[in-house]
Amino acid sequence: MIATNIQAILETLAFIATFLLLPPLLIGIIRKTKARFQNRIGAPLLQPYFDLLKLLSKGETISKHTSWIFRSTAAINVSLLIILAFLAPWTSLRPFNLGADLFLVIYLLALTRFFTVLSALDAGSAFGGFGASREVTLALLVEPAVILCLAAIGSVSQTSDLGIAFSFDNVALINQPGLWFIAGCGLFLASLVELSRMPADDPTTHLELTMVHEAMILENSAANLALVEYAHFLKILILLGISSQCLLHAIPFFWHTNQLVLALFSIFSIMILAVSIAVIESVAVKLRWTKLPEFIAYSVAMSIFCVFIALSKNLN
Amino acid sequence: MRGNPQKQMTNDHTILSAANLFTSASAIWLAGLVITAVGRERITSNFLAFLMLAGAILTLGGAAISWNQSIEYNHLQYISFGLAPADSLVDSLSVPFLGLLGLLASAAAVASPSHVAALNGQGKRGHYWKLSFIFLIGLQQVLLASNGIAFLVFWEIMSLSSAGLVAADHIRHRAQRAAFAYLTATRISTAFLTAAFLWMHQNTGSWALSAWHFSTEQSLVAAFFLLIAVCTKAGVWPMHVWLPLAYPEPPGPTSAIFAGLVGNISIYLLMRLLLAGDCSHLAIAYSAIALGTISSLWGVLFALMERDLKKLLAYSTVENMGIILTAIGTTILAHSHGLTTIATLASAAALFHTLNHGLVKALLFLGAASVERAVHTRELSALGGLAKSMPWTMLCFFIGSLSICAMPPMNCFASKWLVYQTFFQLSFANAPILERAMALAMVGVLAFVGALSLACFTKAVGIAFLGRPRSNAAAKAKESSTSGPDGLLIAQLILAVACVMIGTSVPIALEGLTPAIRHLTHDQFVIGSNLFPIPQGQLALVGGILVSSIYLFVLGRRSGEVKSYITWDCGFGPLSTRTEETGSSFSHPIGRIFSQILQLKVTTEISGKDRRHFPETVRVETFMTPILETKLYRPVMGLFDWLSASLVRLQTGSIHIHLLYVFLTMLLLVFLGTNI
Amino acid sequence: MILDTFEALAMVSAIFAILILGTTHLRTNLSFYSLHTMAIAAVTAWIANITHEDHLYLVAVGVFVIKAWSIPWFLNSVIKKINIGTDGGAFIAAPLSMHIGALMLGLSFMISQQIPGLIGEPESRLGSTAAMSILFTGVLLMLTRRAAISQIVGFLVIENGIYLFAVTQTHGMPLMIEMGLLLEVLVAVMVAGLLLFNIKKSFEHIDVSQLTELKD
Repeated sequence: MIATNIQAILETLAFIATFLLLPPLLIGIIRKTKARFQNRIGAPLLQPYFDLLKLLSKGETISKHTSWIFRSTAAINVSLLIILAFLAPWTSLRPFNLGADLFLVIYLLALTRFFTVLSALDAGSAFGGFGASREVTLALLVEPAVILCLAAIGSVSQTSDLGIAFSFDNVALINQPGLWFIAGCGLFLASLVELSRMPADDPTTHLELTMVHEAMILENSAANLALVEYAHFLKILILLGISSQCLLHAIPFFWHTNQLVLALFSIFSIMILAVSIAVIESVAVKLRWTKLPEFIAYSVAMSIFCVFIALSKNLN
Repeated sequence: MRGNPQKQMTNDHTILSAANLFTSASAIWLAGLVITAVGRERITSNFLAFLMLAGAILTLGGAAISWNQSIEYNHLQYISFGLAPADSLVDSLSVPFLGLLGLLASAAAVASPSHVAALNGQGKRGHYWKLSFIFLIGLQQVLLASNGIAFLVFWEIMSLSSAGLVAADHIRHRAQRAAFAYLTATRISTAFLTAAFLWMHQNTGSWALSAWHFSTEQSLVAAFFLLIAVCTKAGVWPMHVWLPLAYPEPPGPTSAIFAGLVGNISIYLLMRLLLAGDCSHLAIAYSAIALGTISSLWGVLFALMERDLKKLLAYSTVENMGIILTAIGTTILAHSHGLTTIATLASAAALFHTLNHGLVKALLFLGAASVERAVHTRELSALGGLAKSMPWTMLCFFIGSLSICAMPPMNCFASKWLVYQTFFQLSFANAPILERAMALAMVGVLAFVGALSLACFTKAVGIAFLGRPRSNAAAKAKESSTSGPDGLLIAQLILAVACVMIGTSVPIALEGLTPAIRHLTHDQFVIGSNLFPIPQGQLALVGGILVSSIYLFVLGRRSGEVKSYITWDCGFGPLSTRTEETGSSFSHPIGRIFSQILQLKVTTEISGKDRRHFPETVRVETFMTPILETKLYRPVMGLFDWLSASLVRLQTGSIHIHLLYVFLTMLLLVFLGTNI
Repeated sequence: MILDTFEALAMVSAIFAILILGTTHLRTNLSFYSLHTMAIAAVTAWIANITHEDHLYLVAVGVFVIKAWSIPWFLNSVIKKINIGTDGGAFIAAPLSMHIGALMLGLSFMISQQIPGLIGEPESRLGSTAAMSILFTGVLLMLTRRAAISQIVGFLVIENGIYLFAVTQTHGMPLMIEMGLLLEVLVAVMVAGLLLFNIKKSFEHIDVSQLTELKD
């Protein structure tokens, strides 16, 4: 009895430590890989942690035109993403199942977007304005794809609880590598857009006119900026986590292995996806704004295929 | 008496008091009407507002007492409409709507004195009070009517008085046009409604609403007429064209009741007749779902492109009516396939979303009225920066926007979740594959609509309240002209608190709706609070704790060192407010994607000597032609004009020819009468 | 329902064919086409494995070498020579045509359930579903594209659809016929490719929507 309790507590601690500490490392991995691709040594892997700490100790400047929205957005977004990290199935090892409802997860993500967009409009700068405008446009195109991929998975397992649908004990989904793989691809493509990564947005550009996410957070500084960045890193962890879980489910091996291997592999696969983001960013170019719907369409097409598979699975 | 199996044996005392409360509410409002008509200037607006509030609170009280039982009474028996007496019936379905009416009427009553004080001219004030009282009486009695005739009479009273409210500002051309469009819509709607009622009377031989069943073959036509009437009155595509014109026009406080209830009452009628009347026509289900889907997409798209704050809200009503209609259609669909769980979910979703939407839309319209009062314009391009000067209005509008975008933990999230869940569960239910495909597609469509409405309301809040003021009037805006508590603001706060409370305690709200859901589905084992398993209240609490701890430990720690400075200007000197994002530029990228539907055209004109690098003037114009109005309604109107012009030729003015017409008509009637 | 491996492969090839519709970038189109044809070659090989008809292995190799490898390679070199990177697109935008293509996949599932006389139970005719969907995709590709090179790709996709239909329904025709067909396709593409040079040379573009003067 006590032993199981201790194990549960240890698992919980490991889980919390993972999702609090892993996100900056992912960014470190992406930056390092990109640097190696460009034949540079690049900053150390742990540099994002140092950056965050540095930002926390700086003095803050905020625009006098802003309201409470601007001041509270970062804190709200970090808390929302922490809640999401507890709910969403981004790793196979979750010490508790709190009932991750599919629509709740999507709408919590939308809530973070609501606040981000408003805080971008708050200072009244042109950059924040068009960043916000582009963000809602991209979200509009991506949202149906994300929800359809997840809903197709949920529909096959006949529950909208992602915790159950993504658990490796769920027999309804055991022989569906096609569904899992296509859903994983669709979600990964959608995440690239949602996370403002390369084909949609260049996170390292210094040209404000082409930015989306960076343009929105232009007015943030110091601790506030640190929180915004951290929230973004957390979002990367969660979204990449969900897509990597889909891809892991596609491989039959993981259905028959033990918890520890699964937990390790789910962390490892998130890192692999981070590396693949870096590879994509190194070999691809940022698409023109008008060409973006063409890219997102692939994600939507994947979600339509998922829907077909889900419909044919439940033939009666 | 069928339809309410919850009918319980209750003691006479309760029955009497609930019925008495409703009747006395009407009586008080009637008294208000008489006093306004007689008393002229001697009556202060505070007294009239008190009367309105008293009636509203009595209605709320009556709804609270009778929430779980069915009461039939005939206090208005001395009023008879020839075919049937004005019987009243309170049952579990009308109670939630009566509650909503009470709440919105209280809010309007609280907001009224300050609104009336700002009106110049006694005529306008009297006009306002009289029409509001009639409107309220009409609304309440429509909800209480137990037979078709009483329903139609009070429906007409409600429609005409609300048309009067739309024309309140009748000196302006805009209001005239709006009132005319609204009146046309109500005429069409009443015509179809009357036809449907007559048809059902012919079928069943009864005028009682509860006696009408829509499960028979013969009722199909009546059901279609009903659907058309309701779609016209609720503003569902393609009959929505009057809605963006009329909704913005009623004066401030009543716009809350107007926006919150006019559409919802017709949805109520649909629920009362089709859902509670066991409608199982697949054709009705499919057309409701199709119209609803188009309506939600169309409405939110046009809302997003709108430049006028109140019109934006009006188009968002089109969207929500569409969503509700899809839920109603799905109820009928599930009912005819015998899928009880889904029928329950769908009817709960439709009912709950109708109520939530009424509440939230009223809140948002009050907010817009508050902005209009402070800035004297509704154009988004002249607003901005109001968060500083009107913090409370901004907070209320923000809460309303969160809610209408269905963000957790607000009330609309719960009802939208139920709609999502309906379609999601239909996707693996025992239904034909095309319907399951449709269900999953609807999940995607709803997500799309959700993302569009997020864009739309971030635009409304962001452009109107955030950033820097875009005009002098916006820079000088004040929350209220007087120093004391402002009625309009208190009304908004009441509704905002109601939104948050319902949102954080959804199980309790759904428990309260359980009798109504049982009434709609005839399923006695439904428990409302089990329908929504997400602990929104706890989530909100956890979120609140997290935010405040982050605030304390990360941000608050160094708050001493926060410097205030201008918005970054790239070092080019003071930023003009014209560099800010405007409403139309915010929605432009999305407009470009849908330029075919929106008929969006952009012309750019650059002039100057070296035009490429140093333009002297740059002129960008965007045009939108409403496609439905120009491509569908204008030709139809043209056809009517042409027909009328041709028919004029019949009217020659000669008495002999006219006598000939009379003779011919007589012949025709005789011919028809002989039954050949 | 459990998919056979060859049905899964046929579906993969159908999906790759639909992905061709999504972009107007010609080289990406060709690589998707190449993947799509490889999947078809794999289907052939797998059917050979099931039915033990050894000549189908040869056909699979032929499909792989000729259709999946040399034709894209040849068309790539044509693209490089005539220096045209993207397609103008006609009627409907590429993303939309891809979504229509995806819906066509569902439609062809419905159709193949209805057609009498096909192999397999009506619920699990995924082979013919895939074949029919590829056919539709090819037609859609030819309808919605403007550049002549996309027309060639569209033609090749249609041809693949017909081939897949034959292979899944009859489990292979005699070797000679298959090989003859393959060579014919190769020659047709060669001729079309050479024609492209001449079109480009005489009209300065390869936009088929402007080639309307050949009437009467």
